[in-house]
Amino acid sequence: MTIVWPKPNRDVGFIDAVALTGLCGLLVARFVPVARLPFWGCALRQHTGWPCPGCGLTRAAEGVAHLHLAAAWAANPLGTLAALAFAAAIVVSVLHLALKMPLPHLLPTQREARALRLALAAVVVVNYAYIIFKAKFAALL
Amino acid sequence: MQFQCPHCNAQFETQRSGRQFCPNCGQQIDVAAPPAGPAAGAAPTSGPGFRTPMSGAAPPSGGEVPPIGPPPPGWMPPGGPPPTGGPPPPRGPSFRQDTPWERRKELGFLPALAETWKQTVSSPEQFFASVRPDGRWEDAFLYGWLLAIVGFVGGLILRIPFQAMLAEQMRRSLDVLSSMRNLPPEAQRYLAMFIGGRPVMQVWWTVLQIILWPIAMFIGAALVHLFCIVFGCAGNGFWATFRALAYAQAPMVLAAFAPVPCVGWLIAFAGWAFTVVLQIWAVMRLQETSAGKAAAAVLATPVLGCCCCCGGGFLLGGALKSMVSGGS
Repeated sequence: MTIVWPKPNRDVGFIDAVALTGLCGLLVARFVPVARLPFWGCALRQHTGWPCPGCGLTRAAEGVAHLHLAAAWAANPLGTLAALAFAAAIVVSVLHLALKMPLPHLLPTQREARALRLALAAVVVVNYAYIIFKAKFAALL
Repeated sequence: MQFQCPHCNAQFETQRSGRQFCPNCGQQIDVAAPPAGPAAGAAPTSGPGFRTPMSGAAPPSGGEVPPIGPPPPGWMPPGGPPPTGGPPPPRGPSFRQDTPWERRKELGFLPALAETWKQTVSSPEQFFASVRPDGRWEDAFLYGWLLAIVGFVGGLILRIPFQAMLAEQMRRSLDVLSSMRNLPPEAQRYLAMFIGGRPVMQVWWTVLQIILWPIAMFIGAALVHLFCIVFGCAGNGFWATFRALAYAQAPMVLAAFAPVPCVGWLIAFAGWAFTVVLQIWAVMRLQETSAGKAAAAVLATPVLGCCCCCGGGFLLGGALKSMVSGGS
């Protein structure tokens, strides 16, 4: 993997957009009772009893926004990591825009990129397995 | 094959020769064919700078990049859509030029806006094949925002004659929804106030939509580009995705017809569906990727969102059924 460090700059880019996304999402999770909205809920779980891969994302975001990390992790581990990554993006973006902190360009080779994608897919599958296990076989825990 | 960018000296792997963008610095480069050697043959052009996936300033706008050397003074890109005939190159077209909107100083503000909208909607393949991924994001952003404003204001104007009927429908929907979930009293109060049908509230809501649209645009582009990275189709950088999504907003003006009874929601839905199709098309062309990867990147966010709130479809369906049966 090649890492290139540009000169200090305040150029708006992808990380800043991700930070904006994270900021909005975490603010909503912090101050809006999203789970109590009338249209919120997993139809798959309501009708079949089986969770979907995204089940627990709302509770994970709310947990991170309220700094209840254990509850967030229990709801959806991968969602918790994603919410923490968005929070980290906010910090990085603030440093970048305020202090001209350069953001490195990460350039993985094709093989590394493929390996990263496979690893991500595996993590998603493991996370889904955990959610299913917790929802359907919680008694075994 | 391995290739070294002559601008930033970064090495990267590429599957093809010909004109493309450096994934590190974003500069346009010419990769020589394999017999010329794995890391040789770079012929830098004088194209405008190009933002990297992580950051980068807006490059100066310019015309189409000629094959060799800088453009002569006063050179302007040819007008109209790119030439047709024959299939596009296998890895995407190389004929890029400024959109009519980006040439609005030359064409005039309204004609440029109308021409861009027309090309986007009537000949998306030609249009998106000709849009430069490295153009100014501000131009695309302004174009999308203007169309959004047209849609919001048009919807507000069309809502006025049907205000009483829409307010009654919304009230009944709220009653049905409130009976299904215990909404907090404050939320009920705000919802009732919002759907109460007061024109002032509608105007404020329209203003709020206009103000929030840029934030929504950035968030949408960030999420789509995130999935572009995941699916390996983010080679031309974040601003290419941003420009693709902004120019694909054209059919959303049809959402202005949503308040029209009977057919309004159909027109609005058609506009939304066409927008999604255009977004996929635009990402495919501006990121120079396959249709499958572009579709996966664009649709991943709504699919993920559906996991959280697809119950809303069932609830709204139930609400509509109750309204219909109650009204008959």
